[in-house]
Amino acid sequence: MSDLTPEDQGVLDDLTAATAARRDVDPRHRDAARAAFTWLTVDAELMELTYDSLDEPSAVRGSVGAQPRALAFTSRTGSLEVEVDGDRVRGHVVPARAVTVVMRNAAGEMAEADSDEDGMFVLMGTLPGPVQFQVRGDVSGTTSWVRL
Amino acid sequence: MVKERCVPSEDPWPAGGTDADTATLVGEALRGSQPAWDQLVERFLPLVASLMRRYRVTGADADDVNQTVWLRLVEHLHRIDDAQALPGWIATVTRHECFRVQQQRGRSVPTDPQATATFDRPERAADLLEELLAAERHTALMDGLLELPAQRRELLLLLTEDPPLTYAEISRRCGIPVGSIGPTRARALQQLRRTRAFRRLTSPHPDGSHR
Repeated sequence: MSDLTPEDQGVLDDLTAATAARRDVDPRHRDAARAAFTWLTVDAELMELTYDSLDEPSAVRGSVGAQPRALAFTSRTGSLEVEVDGDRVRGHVVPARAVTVVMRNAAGEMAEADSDEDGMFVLMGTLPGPVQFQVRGDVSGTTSWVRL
Repeated sequence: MVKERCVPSEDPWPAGGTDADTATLVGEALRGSQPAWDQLVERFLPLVASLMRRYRVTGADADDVNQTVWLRLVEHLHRIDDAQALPGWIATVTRHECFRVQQQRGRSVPTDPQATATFDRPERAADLLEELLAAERHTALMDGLLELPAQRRELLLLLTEDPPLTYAEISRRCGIPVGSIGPTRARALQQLRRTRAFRRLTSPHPDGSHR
């Protein structure tokens, strides 16, 4: 085979890496990525993730697993704080209101709970895969997707 | 500017690798186009996959991280003002989710004294920069391929097969005599280096190179 210039050989090597990177993609990951598009909404009031206990340095969190996973989401109208406690998700909304909180995953599975007048609620059970929370009531919004 | 949106079905990678620019695809996806979204997925999924490999996130954790990244992108899509920043955004979210998985699994996370600054300015983190540059180069090469005549594109793709094909097999599949494969390969690579997509890549970056 005729020799290639170093530049051409470099391009061929990169091309080989590029096609390999595309072939190495897990088809399940492609399917999940494509399916995510069904969650495109333009009108939802987004409650953004503003705190995740996993982002704390390990030294601050103490021994791994000692602390429950805690998350906070905030929108212009209020915030939602949740804590994963085994197979329950406890949380509260601020300002304190009686609202309905729905937790759902991308497969459309849901769990739902009403908060008391202090804004406290408990969702029984967790769901597989990333989830988002929807708050319906005087405080309302939909959170970012998170892996619990 | 004419956008080549159709990929011949015989191309060996699934729908994707068009030279429609990312900004166009984002705009079309926001108007509800699933095909445009699928092309964004083809373009950036290898970046997500390579970062997950780099941070050794596998199995069910990788499924969850991958799904989280794409759901976040759907949620974030309407706020993308600069399509150029999209690969950096995807890489940052992927890396962050990989770090969270590692924390959760009790694995040590590489300590970075400037960790906070790193999340603020992801494009300055060395590990991300490396993956981003590779991904950008790969995308440009795949886009460049689409500017080549079909037979040359086919030849280059056959030459990148793993495991490698014999020249007899390559000759049979693309109809080029064995003795012409070498010279055709050289011409095809030179042509690839002259494509718009490839020249865009090698032209100097407006804000400097590696930082």
